Amino acid sequence: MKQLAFSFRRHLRIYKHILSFTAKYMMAYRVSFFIRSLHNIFYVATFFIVTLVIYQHTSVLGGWVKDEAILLFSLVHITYGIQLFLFMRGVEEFMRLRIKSGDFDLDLLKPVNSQFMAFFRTPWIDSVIFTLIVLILFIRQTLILSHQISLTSFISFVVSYLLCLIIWYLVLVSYATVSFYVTKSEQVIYFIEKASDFAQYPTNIFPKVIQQAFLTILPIAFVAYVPSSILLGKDVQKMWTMILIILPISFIINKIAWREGLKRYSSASS
Amino acid sequence: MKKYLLVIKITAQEILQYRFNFLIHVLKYALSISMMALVWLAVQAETNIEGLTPESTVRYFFFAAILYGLSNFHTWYVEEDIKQGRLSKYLTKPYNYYLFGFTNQLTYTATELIIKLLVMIPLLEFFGFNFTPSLAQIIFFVFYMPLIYVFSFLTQFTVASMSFWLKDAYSLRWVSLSISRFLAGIIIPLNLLPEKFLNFSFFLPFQHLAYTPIQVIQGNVSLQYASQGMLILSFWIAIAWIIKEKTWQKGVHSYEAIGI
Repeated sequence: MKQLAFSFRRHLRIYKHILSFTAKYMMAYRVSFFIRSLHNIFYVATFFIVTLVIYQHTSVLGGWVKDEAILLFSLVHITYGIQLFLFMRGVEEFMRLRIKSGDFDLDLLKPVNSQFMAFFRTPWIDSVIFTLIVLILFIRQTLILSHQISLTSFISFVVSYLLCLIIWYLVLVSYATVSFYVTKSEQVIYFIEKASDFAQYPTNIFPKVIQQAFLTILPIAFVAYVPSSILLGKDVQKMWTMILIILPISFIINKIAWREGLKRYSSASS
Repeated sequence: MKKYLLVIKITAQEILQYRFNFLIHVLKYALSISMMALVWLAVQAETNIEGLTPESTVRYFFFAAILYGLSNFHTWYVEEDIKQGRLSKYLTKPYNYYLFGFTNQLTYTATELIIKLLVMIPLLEFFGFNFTPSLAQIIFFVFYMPLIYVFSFLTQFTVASMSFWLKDAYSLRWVSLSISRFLAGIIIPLNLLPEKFLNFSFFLPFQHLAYTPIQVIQGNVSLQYASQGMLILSFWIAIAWIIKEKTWQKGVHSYEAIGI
């Protein structure tokens, strides 16, 4: 336990250095930083308009009223912002470049966790502005819906959301290990990223087969639908059961996929 | 012409070499756009939307998925070539860099289009959403395709050329893609937006990148409307061409690749 805490602190310290270095680099090109921040805002704005148009035609969708749907929408994009900030760029680079070029050797040779080094090495600081905007929207929606939200459900939501983030990370990384087997495979991660656009709609509006897929093989429901449901008191027991089933499974799959992938890795030109 | 045919041949070989990646790419957009139909079907299950039946909704998004590949591509290689100074080696070779990129991308786009047509049209038939457009509707729909591609490539190439002056032109490219996708009616049928907006957007190029050709093939608009749409898109192609020429000339003029 003591060793685990020490390792955690060490990785946190390394991450602090990575963040500081990246921030300095980003701030050297301030105009680019703001333009890059803009692109996420535009991307999300178009989807926000779609949500508004949907609720112009109906007052409820899959049992979710407009304010609940906007809360779901904001949570999806908070997750999107967090994943961009923490590991998405790392996953992308890992699949697109590092395995293919053999640069992954550099991560393996360092005395830190190889998964941490491979995926957390390039934080996307540009996503901060965008994440703050959707966070404000989320807080606004939480206040509007405060009559539905008790303190217990809010605590339950926070815990579930953290666990869902871990599930999402484990799943993305498991899929990223495809690059150990296929030379050019970055589209796999773009596919999952694209599919996660559908996390902004209540999962229960889709046909049963797709609902099951969104809870298992492509668990985009965990991006926001599951924690939002817990926050709003919808099917809380079912949602918690899903988290408690999927979390250990995704952890085991991640461990196996990473271990087998590493065995397969043979660096560049070998 | 021969050299550009060679570009097509080499690109086709590249697609075949990395077929897994390419198929996932095709599947990614085909599925994500088609799935929008399920969202709108769910809305229709709650309420009736005027001018939209479940059948027309499914057909709309299937055709949107087919057409999307013609306007959705990433000219990141232009940005990288400029930023890393690799453009020099292209400028000294006896071919046009724009046409090189155009034919390279065309091979990807055409292959994607063929795969989608071969898979998605039979799928529509299989799910019972088949319909019989007239020959004129099909001709108009097909004639829209090269116009959509030419306009989109011109705009994407021009935006990527901003790398002559900006460190990260890709963000601008993403912004333009997001706006274009929305205004083209890829994620939302434009007739669900206010009529004033629809009337105004008729004079912009975006609506004709997806919404108009889909309405044409579904027989929702007259062929006269379709021809007007084509004329407007052609007009915007001419404008985009002029802007691209001016930008490229200015960019190449200011381009420096020291030490390469």
